[in-house]
This record gives sequence, structure tokens and C-alpha cells, in this order.
Amino acid sequence: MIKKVKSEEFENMKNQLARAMADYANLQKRTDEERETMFKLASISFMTKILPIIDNLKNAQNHVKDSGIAMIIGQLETIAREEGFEEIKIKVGDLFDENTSEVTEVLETLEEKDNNVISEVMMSGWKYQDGTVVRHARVKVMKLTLNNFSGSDENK
Amino acid sequence: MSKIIGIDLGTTNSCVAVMEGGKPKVISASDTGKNTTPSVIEIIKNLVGDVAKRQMVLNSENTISSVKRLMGRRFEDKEVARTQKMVSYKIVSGKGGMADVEINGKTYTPQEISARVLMKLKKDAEKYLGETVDSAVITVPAYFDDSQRQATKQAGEIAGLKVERIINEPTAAALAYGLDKKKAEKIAVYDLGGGTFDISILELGDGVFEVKSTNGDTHLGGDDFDEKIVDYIAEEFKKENSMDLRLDKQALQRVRDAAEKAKIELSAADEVEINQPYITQKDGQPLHLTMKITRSKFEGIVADLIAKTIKPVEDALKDAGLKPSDINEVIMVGGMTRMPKVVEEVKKFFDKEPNKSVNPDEVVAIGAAIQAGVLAGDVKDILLLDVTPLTLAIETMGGVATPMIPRNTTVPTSKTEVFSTAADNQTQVEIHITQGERPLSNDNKALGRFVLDGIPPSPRGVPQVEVMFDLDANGILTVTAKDKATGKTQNIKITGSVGLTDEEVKKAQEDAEKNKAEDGKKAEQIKAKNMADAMIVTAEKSIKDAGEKAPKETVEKVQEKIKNLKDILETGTKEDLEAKTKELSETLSEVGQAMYGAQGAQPTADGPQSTEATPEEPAASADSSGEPSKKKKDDSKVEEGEVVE
Repeated sequence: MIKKVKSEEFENMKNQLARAMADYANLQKRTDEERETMFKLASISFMTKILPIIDNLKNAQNHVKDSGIAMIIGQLETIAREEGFEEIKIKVGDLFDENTSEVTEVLETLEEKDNNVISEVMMSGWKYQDGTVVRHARVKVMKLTLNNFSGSDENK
Repeated sequence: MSKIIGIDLGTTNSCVAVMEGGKPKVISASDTGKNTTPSVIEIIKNLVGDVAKRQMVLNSENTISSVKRLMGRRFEDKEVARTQKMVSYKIVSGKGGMADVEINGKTYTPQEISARVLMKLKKDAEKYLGETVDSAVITVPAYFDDSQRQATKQAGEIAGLKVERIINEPTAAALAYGLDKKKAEKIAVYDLGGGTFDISILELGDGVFEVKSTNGDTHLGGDDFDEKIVDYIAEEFKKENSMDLRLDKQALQRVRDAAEKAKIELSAADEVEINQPYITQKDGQPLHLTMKITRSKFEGIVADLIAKTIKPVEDALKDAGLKPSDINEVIMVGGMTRMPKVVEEVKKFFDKEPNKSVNPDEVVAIGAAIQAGVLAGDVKDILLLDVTPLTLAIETMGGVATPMIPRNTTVPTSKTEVFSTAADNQTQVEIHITQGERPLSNDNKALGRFVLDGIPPSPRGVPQVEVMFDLDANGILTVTAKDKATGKTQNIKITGSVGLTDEEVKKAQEDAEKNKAEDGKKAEQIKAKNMADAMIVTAEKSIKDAGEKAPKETVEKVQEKIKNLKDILETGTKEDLEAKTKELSETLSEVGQAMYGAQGAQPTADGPQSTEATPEEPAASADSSGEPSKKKKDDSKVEEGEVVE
């Protein structure tokens, strides 16, 4: 009787030990991975805070067209590149891709070839060197209307 | 057996968690790294979550959100009609008059659509766990009827998950707070999420939660709060600039971002500043949005929304036949409950501090994971791991207790460190093991001591004595000391080092706290003394090495300084010791300088400074330790030298 209980307990313990060891081994692996991603995430998090400032500087530049500000923008973009960030190349005429961009506005079109095509990039998108999108671009996209009324009013 | 995951399948956001090592862990989405996934699905391209959300405006008729509102409902249901008004996809009457969704001429049941979200969560969990997952616990609102629960279960099955159990969201929240372990309780769960508000009154009896009543507002949530701030910002801007930012979609997007950020920040800060330069243009001139919003202003703006939640709470209590004072615990769920004003109102109503320590976005999934753990046997069977309540240390030079195993370390554990001798030709070391938080060994509880002898005579710092502390799961501590040169080993076994009574532990910890300032001073004093001691040894050695090369007057000066320092070594204050040590070190550098001068080497312009520093600093540490690798150890960790001879 006693012996039976003991062996049951032993099996239990063995099971628990195996489980705990496995959990621990997995945790170790994951900790290593997480340490690597931690660095990346920290720099991405910082970059996402800096990006709006670059945008604002560019807006300012569009307005005042000052060569000094142009240099500052250049410096910031260089640092961004050095840290492994780059602007996602999206231009008017590209097909919309939800992996890199977010639609903020839809413009109607009657041309089938313009369906799902970007008509304006409102905010640039950025990615990290490993391809992780840091900030999705915001774009206006054209969409084919099957209705017959002509075009949209806010288009032009 | 594979793990059972816990899923919070929400109207706006979903979340998945799993038990790991006896603790619930929320799994972040593999694509975004976020802990929650938007319950948004694009059915044609099979996009789920954030990626589906990004293309929602373009594909509004193919993109499905809020499908939970349709789960298990008939097409004639009032809620279905209300949902149709807020979504762009087409809701149709399907088999048996149930509400279905029609996309591109094909009908989908809400179950099939929800299954896509579940599939993504399942995949994220599998990626995280590195194994397949085939069963889950899924939560539903307490008011879900049988047909809605059935539909949720089917969604799980379509996603390839065996649904081990469907549990109520408020019950899950209560589990996450461990309330099932308390005595019979009456619990109110206040859940203000992205798009819905639910209040549930639970009663716990015999470890089972019974839902006494539920109430809420299916169209009230965080999104309404955001909208209010956007409107406020836009109105203020309009007053000033007579331009409506809401008409400019790009500007509106920026205002929305700023509003959401402000809402989040105002949970912690009393005031936020919104700065959005170049937000729009007027007559060719750029306009900037700058505005300050105080917390009280924000609270004023959304006061009516918060007030709207109180009536359902009153009704729920009435239905349960209870008064606010009958409630033992209040639990906050949903992101909006981070807002201090919401907490305050709830607290005022119940006259009780609500539970809000668990992340309100994750608390339901965590509870589901705990339930899953119970079903899998994880939770019950957890091996209770003990921790050592007090620090186990070894006494080093000057009576300093050098920690080997810090308190709160989970046992079993072991730790090895190499120590050395404190005096020249020291042939034995005493290993003195103590327990406690005070920095000096004498103030801690002595557990045992033993001597390791037979160390070959050598200068201080050269011998390497490896000391290993091994604490097993039963609290038995084995300390082994080994001379690395001779391989000679000595050990001691101490039982009961973990098994202190609670009072003993408490007292030791309090002692440490009480004496912290004084102990710190004492330890510093000893450190200063050890430094002085090391400097004396260095200086004596330098003079010896320099021999005839050093000018006599300099040597005499050094010897005098050595004597000065030796005189106060035992009695001097920390400041005195430090000052005299510094003096000696400065004088000593003259020896080095003189020696280089004597060698006739003509130092370059910046030579003297660097040579002046180099012979002295490293010498101080290298000489006293003899092991160049452990510079920092020399002063603090050299084994006590009192037992020499």
C-alpha cells in the first residue's frame, strides 16, 4: 500500500520535473530571443516618436524653403539611416499594399486601371532594416465606381 | 499534452493568453508585437487584425468589424439592425433566419468570420509556444444566451480548436484577480471597452461563480470618448481660425491621433499639450494646432459618457437584489477604465476601491488562460517553489558580509565565486557563513564556519579559493571551499537555512531596514580601511622595487606617509583614512616620476601626466590581488586574513 502511493507520487514528481525543466528550457530560449528584439524595439519606439518631427520640419520647409532647414532634415534622415531605418518607397501610381500603407481616404475613379492605385501619399512610411514596418504610410487610394455619375467633387 | 489557450474574443479587440510556468502570459501578435489584435477581418484576402484595419476605408464592404454583435442572433434582432447602421458590409438573413454577412455575393456566418480571428490567435500562440495548439477556453459576455454561446463554440471548432469551455468574461476577470480563492463573495465587474459597456454582478459560492445580473450599453465605449475629444479640439480650432479641421481628412486623421494620445496621457498627467504644426492652410498661410487640455477639462467633456454607465450599474444591482454596500469586490475591465475619473466614479458609487492592478485590456484573456490551466491540470499541480527568505553570505576582509545567494532567490540554486587571501603567506582561510541582510557579518546570524588550510605560501591575492554555495530544495545549504592550486577541499552542510519562522524572517528584514544608514557607514569605513591597507602594501612594495633608483628624500617622504596611514588604520574615521590614502598615493607617484627621470628618459610634453598615473594606479590593485582579471574584487572580496599563522 505504502509502496504504491510512493510510486504514484514519484511518477507525479517526475512528471512535474519534466514539465518544469521543459518550461525552463523554453523560457531560456525565449529570453535570448527577447533580448535581441528588445534592442530593436527600443530603437523603433524612439524612431516612431522622432518621425512626426521630421514630417513637421518637412512641412515647415515646404513653406519657408530655407536651406538651413533642408540641412537639418538631411542630418536627421542620415541618422535615421545609420540606425537602420529607411523610408518605404511608395509613390503616386503604385498599387495600394495594406502591408505598408493605410488608406485614409478613397477617391472615386471611372478608369479601371486606376482601381486600387495610390493617388496621394499623405504621410511617408518607414521601415526598419529587417523589414519591420515602423510606421505605415498614409495614402489616398482611387477606387473604381460602377455608378455612372461623373467623378468626385473633392478630387480636384 | 499540448497547452490549452485562453481567448478573449472581443467586439473591437481580441487577446490570447496561456499558462506558462504556473503563471498566465499574454501572447503578443506575431505581426505587430501588440498584445491585442483588432477583431477586424477582410474575408477575400483573408486579412485579420491591424493589416485588415489599414485597408478598411478602401474595402469597407469586404471588411468586417464588430461581428460579435451578430453572433448567434436572428436577422430580425434589433441589435442586428443597429449594427447594420454602423457597418458598411451587408448583413442578410441566412439559414434559419440567422444573421449572416454577404460579401461579393457569398454569405458567411458570423461563426466563420470569428473563426478567422481565432485562427490568427491560435497561430500567434503556436508561434510563441513552438508547438501546436488544439484546444481553448473562450470567453463571452455574461448576457450571451445559449445560441450565442453555441455560435462562439462553433467558431472555435471552425478554427480547429476544441473549445474546452466557454466562460463568462466577468468570471474570467474575477479568476484573473484570484477571487475564486476567497470566501463567498459578491463581485461587481465594470467593463468599459472600445465599443461596449457591461456591468455584471457575480456571486461566488463553493468555488463557482454565479451571474446574478447583467446590464450595460452595447454602444458605449472608448471610441465615443475619442470622438468627444476630437470634436472639442476641432471646435476650439474653429473658434480661433474659422476652419473646420473635420472637413480636411488628412488634418482630421492627425487630430484623431493627437486626441487618442491626449486621452492616454491624461490618465497620468494633469495637463497635455497638443502640438500639430502645419495642420492645414488658410489663404496660403499655414495654420498650427496648439492647444492645452487639462485633465479636468477632459473630464468635463466626457462627464456625460461616464454618467451614462452609472444607471446600468444601479439597474444591475437592483436586479440582483443588492445594495452597493453588499458588494465585496469591484473589478475594472477594459481600456477605458484606465481613466482616473472612471475609477473615481465607480469608487464613489460602491464606496470601495476597485481592483485595477491587472492590465484591463488583458485581464479577461488572463482569466481564460487560468481556467484553461485548471482544466489542463497545470494550475492545481504546480510544484510550489520555495525561495530563500534571507541573504546567504560569506565573510570577507574587514568582516564584510559578501552575498553569495541573495534573498528571494528561488531554490534549488547554487553559486560559485573565487576568493583570495588577504595577507602574504597566508596558508589557511576561514569560511564564515552568515544569513541576513546587514552588510557586516557580525550583525547577521552565523550559520557555520570552517577552515580550509594547506594553501601554499604565496603573496596576498595570489591563491585562488573557490567557494561554492549549494542550496537544495529542502533548504539544506552545502558550502564547499576548494584551493585551486592544490585541489584541497573542505565543506560543511547546514540544514534549516531556509526554514525560518515568519517572525524570524520579518525581524531580520526589519533589523536590516532599521540599521541601514548606520550599517552603510560602517561598511564604508571598512572599505576605506581596506583601501588604505592595500595602498600601504603597494607603497611598501614600490619602494622595495625602486631600491636605489628612487631619491632618498622621496623614499623617506613615502615612508613617513605610510607610517601616518598605519597609525590611523584602526582608529581613523573614513574621511581621515581616505585623505591619508590619497596623500600616500600622491607621494608614491613621485617615486615613479623620479624613477623615470633617473632612467634618463626624456618624457614628451604630455608624458609626465600619463606616466605619473600609470605606475601607481594599476600597481595598487594588481599588487594587492595578484590577479589582474578581478580588479574590483581586490578591496571587497579578498578573504579575511585574521586566521593567518
